[in-house]
Amino acid sequence: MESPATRSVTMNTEIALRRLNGKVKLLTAMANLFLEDAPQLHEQLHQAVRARSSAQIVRHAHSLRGLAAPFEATRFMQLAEEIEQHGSDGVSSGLLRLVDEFDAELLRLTDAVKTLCK
Amino acid sequence: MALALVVDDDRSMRFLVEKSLEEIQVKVTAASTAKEGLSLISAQRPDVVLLDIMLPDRSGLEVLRDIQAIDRRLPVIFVTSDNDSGTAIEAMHLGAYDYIFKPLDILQLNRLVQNAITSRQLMNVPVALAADLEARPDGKSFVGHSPEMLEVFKVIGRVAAQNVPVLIRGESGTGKELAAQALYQHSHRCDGPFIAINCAALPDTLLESELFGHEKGSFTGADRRRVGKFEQCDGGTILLDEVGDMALVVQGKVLRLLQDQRFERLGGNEVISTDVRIIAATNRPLEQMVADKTFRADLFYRLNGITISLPPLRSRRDDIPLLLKYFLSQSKSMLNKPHVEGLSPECLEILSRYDWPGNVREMQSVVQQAVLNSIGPIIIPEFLPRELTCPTRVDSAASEAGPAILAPVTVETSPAPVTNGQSLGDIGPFIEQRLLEKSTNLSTEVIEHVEYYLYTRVLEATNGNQSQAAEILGVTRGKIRDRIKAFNISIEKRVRNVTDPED
Repeated sequence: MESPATRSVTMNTEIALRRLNGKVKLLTAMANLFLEDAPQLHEQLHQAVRARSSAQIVRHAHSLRGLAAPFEATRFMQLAEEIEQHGSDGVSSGLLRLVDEFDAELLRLTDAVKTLCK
Repeated sequence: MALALVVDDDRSMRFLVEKSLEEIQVKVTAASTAKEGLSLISAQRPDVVLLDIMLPDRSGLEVLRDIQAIDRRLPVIFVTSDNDSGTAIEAMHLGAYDYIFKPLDILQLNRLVQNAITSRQLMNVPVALAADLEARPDGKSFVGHSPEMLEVFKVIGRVAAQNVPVLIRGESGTGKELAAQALYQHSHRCDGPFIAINCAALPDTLLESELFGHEKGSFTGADRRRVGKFEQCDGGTILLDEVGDMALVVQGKVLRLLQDQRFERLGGNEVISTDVRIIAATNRPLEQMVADKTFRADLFYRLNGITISLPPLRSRRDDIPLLLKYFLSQSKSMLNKPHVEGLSPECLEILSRYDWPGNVREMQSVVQQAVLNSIGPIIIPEFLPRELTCPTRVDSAASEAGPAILAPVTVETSPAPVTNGQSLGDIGPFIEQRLLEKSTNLSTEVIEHVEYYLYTRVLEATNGNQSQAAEILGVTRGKIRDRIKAFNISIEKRVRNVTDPED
């Protein structure tokens, strides 16, 4: 179970709802789409890293960043952006460390987003 | 119903846009690739495109060029999650309508899309200068046979092709925006953009930023660089509507732009060149404002090179029957009331005698309401809005208050057109009633009902002081004036004697 402090970094429901003009159902629907699409995009990102395909790394990190944006997932989006920046220069040890951190943050974000669907 | 195309490979984004635009009655069609999007543009002819900058198959910037090849006037709004505004600015230079950052704020998105659709309509709908009676479904016709209107048509024809500023003057509702559209459509800039800005609708700083753009950090909330309308409209035409409501500081910048087509973004030093034709419109007494030093004389002379004066409806009464016929035909088709045959003689008599303070716009609204209210083929006086059949006294404005001792200002209103003067507490029954009556415009009617209450209440609270009311409501004084006129709110300073027994 994550602590409230971690959760506030991972996702900010208040800001997310404000952007959606307070529409809780819409946020829930967006959460469901996130839970459906994120695993596939995440797998594609790992495939791109394994294939050392810079263009695909940038592409999939960008897509994941866009997918998480409605939830004000600032930490996750920041890591995705860093992967986009590093990814365009090829696969380095720095990029692999970032991807590890990104994976862990995705797990946290997924857990947080799941709470919106209850 | 307007149609928007969203091109984004993120299906949650496509979903969000669809749900968001549902609220403003805009239908959405979607594509996940550039190729699919381009083919939908050719097949479905949308009114606006929301385009992701980073698509799987191509860059959105390249796609914009292809869209322009298909339809140069189609407004394209870029959607980007890039924090770097460089790409967005490049997009604007390439001719994008605007850009919006992810995550999307749905109210901002709806506003932007609505503006883009209006802009598209302004650019696309030809304005009929001829005095024909064929009602256009979109209501964009200059109708008139009177010598006054024929003179207006001639001036528009003469000056449209000249690359000079034009000042359009006339009372509210006389068709100033239509005249500007006609000038644009008959000019050599008709392939360029046409943007209309209502100077009275924005607070001063926002207007300056809207027109000239701003640099990041130039004011609180300016978290990114923004391209202004003058930069965006390079090669096109800008209508500065309600120019008399423009703050002096903005007037100075507009003057400089008129003189040498150069300006700086708010908070910036870079001098930017643009090639924009300016059309200004106002119903304010600019000469008096120049004398009062609230409008720059040099700007007035610059704008006033060629003036088109639109006559009020009451001074071209010959056109009234023609206009009534035109709006009847339009309303029948728009409201799906094909059985309506026309006006009864009594009704025509009332409408012909009426002074039409709101001019053609008011007539359009009155006819629309009459057609909406009608239950048979002939429109009788009963179906007309009450203010026409039982005119209420409209008191003189507060500024005309006489001498003696003034009691607190009383804000009096005539009934709002649709709400029949009900209070805010009646909103529930009002909605129910309109639902039973199968209203097709309920959103507008309810908003009007609430606005009507709000403006009268706040003006009452400020004793009729419009500046204070503007401050409380967070709107411009121009907006307050506009609402006072639209709702026929009368601000009366009652003169009373100190020995009045009522005291």
